[in-house]
Amino acid sequence: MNGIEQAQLTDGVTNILEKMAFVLCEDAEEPRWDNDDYQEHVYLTLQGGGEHAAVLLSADQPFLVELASSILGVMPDDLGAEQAGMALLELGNVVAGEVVQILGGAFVEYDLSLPKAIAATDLGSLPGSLGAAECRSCVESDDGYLRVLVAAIS
Amino acid sequence: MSYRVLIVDDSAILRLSIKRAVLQTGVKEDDVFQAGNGQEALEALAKQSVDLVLLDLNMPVMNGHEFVKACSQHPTLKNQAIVVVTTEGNQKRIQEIKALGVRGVLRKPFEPEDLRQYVGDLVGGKS
Repeated sequence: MNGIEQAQLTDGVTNILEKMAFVLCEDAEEPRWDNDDYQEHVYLTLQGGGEHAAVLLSADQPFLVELASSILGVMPDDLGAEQAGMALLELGNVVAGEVVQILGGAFVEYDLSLPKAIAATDLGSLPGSLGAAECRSCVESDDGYLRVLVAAIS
Repeated sequence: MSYRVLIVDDSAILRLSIKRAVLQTGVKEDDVFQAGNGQEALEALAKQSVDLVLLDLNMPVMNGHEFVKACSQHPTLKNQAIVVVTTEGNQKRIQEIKALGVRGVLRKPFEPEDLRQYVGDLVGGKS
């Protein structure tokens, strides 16, 4: 899979978080790449232009709380049980759309799957060489970390 | 003078995100309305006119395409200003969306400045 670099992915993710959720993030000084560092995962696939790829977003609980409470404008203690997960699903949809644009989606038609919440135990069985992702980004906010992996599906 | 906006999206999370951007353009909170699908939007518009509808396309019950068509066939909604809010960035698909007769397309996530530009054009620069 060609056409996406870490800097592009990181810039896209931080831009989205700022505009969509008013959460300021930056490239993590000490990135966390292990699945065990994250509690919630959202998976999407994209297909077009001869490419078939997977996008995986993984967030730790502090990041999720910060994301959801910022979008909803509520205090973390007032978050509903499902709201943090829903916020990550929506973020996944927008991030995948940005990945499509980076890959040339303005001029090549891509189809995006719906975002799907994935249990940590199912990560190993996902299509896509996510363990050796083509492109990966880890950003940190005030409270937590978000990891984004993009990998080709053979 | 504020202007009235109806946000139509099946995601409560995204409606709130869009609402925050709308409020940053100077719209008063009481002038922002929400609907979870096209049918709810039509019901909301029957009670309250708005200057602008921000519309998602993929929704249950009545999707964005169906909503636009319903407005075009409605005696009082056929000139309703509608801007589609979408993750779609493909130029051909955006042209297809515009061919529905909407006033414009905003790609998620958008900045308040992007929206302010549309509102200024669409509602005659109310201030």
